[in-house]
Amino acid sequence: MNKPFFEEENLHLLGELDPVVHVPARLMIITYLYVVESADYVFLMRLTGLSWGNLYTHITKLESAGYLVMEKTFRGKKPVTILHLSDHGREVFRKYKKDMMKVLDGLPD
Amino acid sequence: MINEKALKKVELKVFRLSSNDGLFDFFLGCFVLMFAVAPLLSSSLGDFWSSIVFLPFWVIIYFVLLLIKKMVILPRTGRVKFGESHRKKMRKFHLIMFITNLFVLIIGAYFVVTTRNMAGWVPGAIFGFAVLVLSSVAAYFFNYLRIFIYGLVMLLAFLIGERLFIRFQFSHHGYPVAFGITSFAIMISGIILFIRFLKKYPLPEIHSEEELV
Repeated sequence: MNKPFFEEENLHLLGELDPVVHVPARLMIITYLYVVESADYVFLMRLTGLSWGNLYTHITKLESAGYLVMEKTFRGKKPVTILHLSDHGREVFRKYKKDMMKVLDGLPD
Repeated sequence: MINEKALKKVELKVFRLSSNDGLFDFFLGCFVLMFAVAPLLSSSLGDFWSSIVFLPFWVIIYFVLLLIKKMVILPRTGRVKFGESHRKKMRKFHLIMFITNLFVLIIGAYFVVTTRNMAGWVPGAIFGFAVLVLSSVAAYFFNYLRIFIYGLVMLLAFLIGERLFIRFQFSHHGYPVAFGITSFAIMISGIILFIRFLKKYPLPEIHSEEELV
């Protein structure tokens, strides 16, 4: 019997993807933070190309989901916000990555 | 898709944002300047001191560039702390550079000791080739083609200098001219990158981080 183009149960994974991560801007933020230990707010703004306010909105969403940790500190007299993924956030991203690859790898070209 | 290859590309993008500001190029240009000026000083200071005299110059340049990094670059790009995979890569890079340096030094020393009546261009070619090997390793690790080109240009500078000396009797093996131009070209490349960087990344419109604190 011919193998189906993709396993149906794999496609169902799409419906189970974490909606907090599955938003382009947030996925971008979480991907960048996944490859580094931490970055400050300006660096993330540069990388993502998001505006100050837009980035803040997405970051607070990720923070309230417990995926991201915001540390407020001072560099000299200037306040600085350092961002890094929480262990839970890393785990969520790994699962998201695995599920997406499972779904997309099974699709025909 | 978010596979490992794509994540490596993301990491590379992060690295480029934190390093593609032209400061390294400018510093390298200042380093190469030694090959142009030291031969001119060697008649009065001797070979050793004519090179050593550059140390304070490099230290000053290094601290000036460090200050530029802190005052000009970082407020524009922000700061990042790289993860374990990048640190591992850097450790690997340093180890490979160390081994390559050692290997090149041994090979160079072997040639110098064993080869009698060596033609004038040979030591320069050996050194130039060593620079090319080192620059190739660095270019491969950081995925910057221009580092390889710098190495290639330096190898050519050694050979062209000798050619200028043999053919046109340029002084000091033609190094002041060949390396003067090379050093100038690398510094200009650094300055262009720096200006491009400033244009691409103006100071961010910070609505004040206090909003976030």
